[in-house]
Amino acid sequence: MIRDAMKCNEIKQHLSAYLDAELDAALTEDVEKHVTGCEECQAELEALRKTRNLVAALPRVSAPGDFKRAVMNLARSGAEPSSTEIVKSKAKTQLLSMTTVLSLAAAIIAGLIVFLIFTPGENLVQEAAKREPRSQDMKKTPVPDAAMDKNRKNNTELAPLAGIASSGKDETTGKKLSTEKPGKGSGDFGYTWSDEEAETDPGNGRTQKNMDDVLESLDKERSAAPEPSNPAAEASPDEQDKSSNRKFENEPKELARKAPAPEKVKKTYKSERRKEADSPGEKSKKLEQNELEGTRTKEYVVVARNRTEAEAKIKILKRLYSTDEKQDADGKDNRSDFSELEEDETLLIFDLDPAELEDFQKKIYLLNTAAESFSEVREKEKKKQAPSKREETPQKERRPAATPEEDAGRPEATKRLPQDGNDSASGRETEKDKKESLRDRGKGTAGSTDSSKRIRVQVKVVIRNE
Amino acid sequence: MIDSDARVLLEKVRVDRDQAFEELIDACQDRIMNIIYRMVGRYEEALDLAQETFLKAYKGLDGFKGSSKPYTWLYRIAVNTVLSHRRKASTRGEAKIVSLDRTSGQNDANLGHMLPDGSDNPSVTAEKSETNARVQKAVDELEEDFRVVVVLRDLEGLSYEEVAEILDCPRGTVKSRLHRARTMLKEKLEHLM
Repeated sequence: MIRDAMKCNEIKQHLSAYLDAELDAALTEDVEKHVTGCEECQAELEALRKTRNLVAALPRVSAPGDFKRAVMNLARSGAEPSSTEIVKSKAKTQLLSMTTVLSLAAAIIAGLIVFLIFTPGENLVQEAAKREPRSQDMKKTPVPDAAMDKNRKNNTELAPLAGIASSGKDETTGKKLSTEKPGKGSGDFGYTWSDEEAETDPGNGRTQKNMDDVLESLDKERSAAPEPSNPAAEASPDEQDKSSNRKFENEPKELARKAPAPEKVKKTYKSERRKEADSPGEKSKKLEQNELEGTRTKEYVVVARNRTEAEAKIKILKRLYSTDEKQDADGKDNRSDFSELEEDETLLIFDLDPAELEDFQKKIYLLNTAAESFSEVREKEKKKQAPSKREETPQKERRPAATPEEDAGRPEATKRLPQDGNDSASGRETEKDKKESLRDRGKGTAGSTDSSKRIRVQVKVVIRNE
Repeated sequence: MIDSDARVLLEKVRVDRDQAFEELIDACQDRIMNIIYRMVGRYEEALDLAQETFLKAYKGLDGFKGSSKPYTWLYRIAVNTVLSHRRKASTRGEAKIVSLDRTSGQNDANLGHMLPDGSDNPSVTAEKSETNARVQKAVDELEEDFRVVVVLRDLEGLSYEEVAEILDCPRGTVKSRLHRARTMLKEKLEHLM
């Protein structure tokens, strides 16, 4: 009996090979003899056979049709065998990066929507629809100064749309941003650069006039700013510098996120005018921050849709900031002739202390974003109300309908109808007053600031659609 | 001694290397794909590893002397590629990959690259798929050394000699591993018999 058990265990070791016909003749004969008389080993052999058949019955897979081509392409290109894994890893990394970016973008958009909806008293779209005169109607009839003032005031209320508004709080960071009173100041950019104005010869006064309106708005805002309340100004120079940087550290990034994906800038300012793209709006992008000869240098870009708009915007900044003491440190005057610009040429260079820089960043931000936001709002409003408005004012003089070519890319914005003459100059500070006001403000807010803390600001222009 | 198939291949390689290799791919791609798939359990992963296998073969074609059959040579590259991949994954601390394809009995049948089995009866197909899923799960649960001999022998029908050559081990080792592997599978699949 024990001998039989030993025989069974020995035979079982060979059953698999017996099934596969992999035993030599002598061993095969031994197994056959034992199995014939042993039910246990017979059952074991049968179970192993079924097991083998189950495995063998697994369906086969085949390579895809283009497998050979893919392999040969890789082989001929000299790809290393391990490159397939590398490619996979890279793809995973890229996918992760893209996922992260998309998540961030979604969060920002959601935050922006919440901000727009819940900003007290400023349901921007609705308010704009209620009070903004449509640009079509404004084209038909001259707009009196009072109406323009009203328009400007309304635009001030729309300012939060630009992201840093006079509400004084950055919704993203939760930090107090503005040093100005709510409802006043930095948001007063009621001007939108239309193609029609941009295509007008700057010499005829129309563009200049509208630019003057913006200057006026800026001055008004500036004078309304409660300087002593600036916490950054009250801080020590070091703290002030850090504070200023901290406050606006995220701003350009936020701006870049909020803006649509930047198009490739085909040409810079010097480029010939091309057909305007159909997407209105401007973008702003802070390119880089670097240390230069011990002085911090920040580079900003004014984005414009066309040359005239760019020129006007640069003039605004120039008139605001290019005072004598803010001349280029190299002794070179800031640019005044815009006709012969080089690629990526820096148009304005001036030094600002941190408090001034804060204000400057707002200006740049608003210049590059406010008009677009207004444009979008009013375009919606126009689409909504234009038919009924035409019926209400049939007696008004109407401009000839614009051709599709003219309409292409035209922003439907808060465009004030250009007025003949120079009436907008009334009540406005003279150039000298402005410069003095700016200087005074600089002293008031950062008068104690060490000059070594001043920041070199460089401004460039990008023509988006040229 | 040069194998006859290997001699033909070497001759073709001498005339046109790429053309010869394309013919080798045509002849072996499905078999290579199949054994890799059954070893790793995921089609996409198997595809990558099969591609890597052929790339290695292409680079090592000049080193092929014809001492074994071409497909045996390719199998060895494939098995080594899979084992190396598994070792790296294990070193990286990745959990053992359990194929999502096999969590459901339908999955084998859903794979677009499966060869048709000729059955049009849905219930039979489903039952077969369920059985296949269980069998594959049992194979997956085998240790690497046992799984590879099962795949090479029972799925590809290679002889013990060929398996031993591919795995670079004695024939007796193949025999004992296969017996142990089948015994383990038998216990796991008892309910299907």
